[in-house]
Amino acid sequence: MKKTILTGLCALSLVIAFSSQAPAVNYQQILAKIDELTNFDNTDFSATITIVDQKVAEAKSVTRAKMFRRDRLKKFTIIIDIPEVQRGQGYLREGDNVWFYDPNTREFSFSSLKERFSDSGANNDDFASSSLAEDYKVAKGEEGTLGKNAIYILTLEATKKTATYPMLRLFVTRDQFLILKQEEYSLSKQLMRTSLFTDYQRVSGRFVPLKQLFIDNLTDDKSTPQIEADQTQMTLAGVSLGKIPDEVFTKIYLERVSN
Amino acid sequence: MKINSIALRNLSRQKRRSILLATAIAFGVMIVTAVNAFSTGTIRIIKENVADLIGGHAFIFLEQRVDEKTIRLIEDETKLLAVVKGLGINDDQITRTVQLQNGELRFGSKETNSNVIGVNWTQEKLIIDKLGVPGDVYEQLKKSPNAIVISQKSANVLKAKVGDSILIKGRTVYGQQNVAEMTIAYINSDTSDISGMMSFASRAELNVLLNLPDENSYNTMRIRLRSLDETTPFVARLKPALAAVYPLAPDEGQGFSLDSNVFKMGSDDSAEFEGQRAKVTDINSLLDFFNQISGGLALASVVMLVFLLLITMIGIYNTFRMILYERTQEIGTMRALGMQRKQVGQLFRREALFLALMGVFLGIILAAIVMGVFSLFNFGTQSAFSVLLSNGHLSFRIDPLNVIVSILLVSVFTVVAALGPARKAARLKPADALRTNY
Repeated sequence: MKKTILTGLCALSLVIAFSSQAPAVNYQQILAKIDELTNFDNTDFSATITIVDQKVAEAKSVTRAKMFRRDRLKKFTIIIDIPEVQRGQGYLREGDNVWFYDPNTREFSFSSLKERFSDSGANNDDFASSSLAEDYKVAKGEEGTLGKNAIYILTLEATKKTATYPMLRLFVTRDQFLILKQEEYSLSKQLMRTSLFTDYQRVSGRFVPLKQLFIDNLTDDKSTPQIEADQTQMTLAGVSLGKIPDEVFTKIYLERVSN
Repeated sequence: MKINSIALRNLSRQKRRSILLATAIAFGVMIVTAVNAFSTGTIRIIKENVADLIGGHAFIFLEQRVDEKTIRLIEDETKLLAVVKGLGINDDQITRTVQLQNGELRFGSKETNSNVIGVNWTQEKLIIDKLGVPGDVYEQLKKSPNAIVISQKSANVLKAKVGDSILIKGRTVYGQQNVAEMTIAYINSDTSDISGMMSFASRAELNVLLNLPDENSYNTMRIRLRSLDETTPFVARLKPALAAVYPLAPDEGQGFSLDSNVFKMGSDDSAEFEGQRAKVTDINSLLDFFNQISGGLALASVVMLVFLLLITMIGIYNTFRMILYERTQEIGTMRALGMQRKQVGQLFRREALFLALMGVFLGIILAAIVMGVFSLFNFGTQSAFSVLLSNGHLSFRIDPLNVIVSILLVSVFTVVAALGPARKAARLKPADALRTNY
């Protein structure tokens, strides 16, 4: 009898324990949600981007460009407007390939998503659509706070040897799955770059970070009082989801507009 | 035959005039020959020096597609070795290298780009000698796995010195970002552009940075031939032999780029293919940029020679007109004695031709003297121009084709300049010529 009562009590306590536990968070689904919320698969996307590059002990440099994205076909076209010496330089993405056009030589050269954009702290893949769910798996997920925001801290490991960063740490808001901060690590586990995303704008059910700050963690110069690392701020303005003509995503267009 | 001896005798009758004209021609020939020999010799030396620095004349890669990217990796060299050895290459002519292309060297907030070459310090003594690494530093290089040799140019940009730890940022063979910390063991004082874009680190350490599967894997099989001249014929034999065991990648996208200041030896990610394929390139293709400079210089020197010859033609034309006046009675006599019109014209043309040949040979001799004198100067092996020098000396190499072009050009121009007076001389009537008294 006693044995039956004990067994019953154990079973009851187990049921209570399981029923009181919060449902487990599916971190991998969060990655898919982030991709879904930041990619524009049903529409085109265009904006004017301004990049302010501040290297340690150097003057600021400003680059302004027009960006056109067609995420569903993994395409983008970027045409630099400012500074004057770079006016007309352009980037064309087709899948994983990126072509750089220089109007001075009138030649295209092969680049890649992993290259830096116009010698700034931004990379070409900062303009590409997000593919976190495809390229990474969540190795570790935890809850935390960043400022006043309740967040998930996700440690990601690349599922492909060809992913730009072998390891990422994402700081994602719990309510809307917006990335507030991203840390990018090398294969040797060294923190290479920290990206901060602010001023999200909701556009047609998607989210666009209007301001992004990239901090180069490999620069570490204590000799300057102002900043200790190279920083790049990227601002988006004039966001539009209007249809972009197909020819914009061609080399011919880049040549014509640039010249 | 008689015409030739009369033409030579005529030239010797007015020695001073002939020597002056020949000297004018010789001056042009000397400049053109020396410029051509300098550009040919220098381009050759650049190629030899670069071949020493990057360890070979011909380069073989194996490419494969991983996650829609083209990567270069030699894990199993069995088939490659069989092909290469079948072409008569010995083990000591083969270098297996790893290279981080367009790596970023970082020191604090300073950064510069460099191709980092992986070196097996105990085996590749030639690179050590080329870099001028002292014995004690060499011992240190062998003991310290994370030691790196950078160029003076890189050190200047980084404001770094021997003993400083720098970061090497680059991409693995699969394209992932990676960083390694290395300590500067030696600064190569050769400040030339080509040396300036190269750094040298331990191959084992670089294998880790590039995420190669194991320490025996590598990027490139480099073949050192006995001389630069063997490169093109060897590659012509190598390609079909390789094609029998691997599909061959197209020849494109390789070389030295002024824009990026690096060697482009990268793969083309846009190419779609299955399995493994081999790619072959050589020092001539990599440095095709310099061949273009050499071609440009050769063309410029020919234009210069033509320009000088046009000026000299005016002098030659006037001289032959004077000769015509001086020898009118003589021509009349020869015509009265049976010399044909055609032969008179021929005599003038032969005189011009002999003058041209004298000028050319004098020019080549003068060029040889000038080149000999210049090659005596020793500019040292650690200067900014050392990559242009052969053990500190300028190098000249006379291209027989250029000499033939010079001979032909000078001969044609000189004979053309003398054509007008020759025709007039041929048209003279014997009686009129004998009566003429200038």
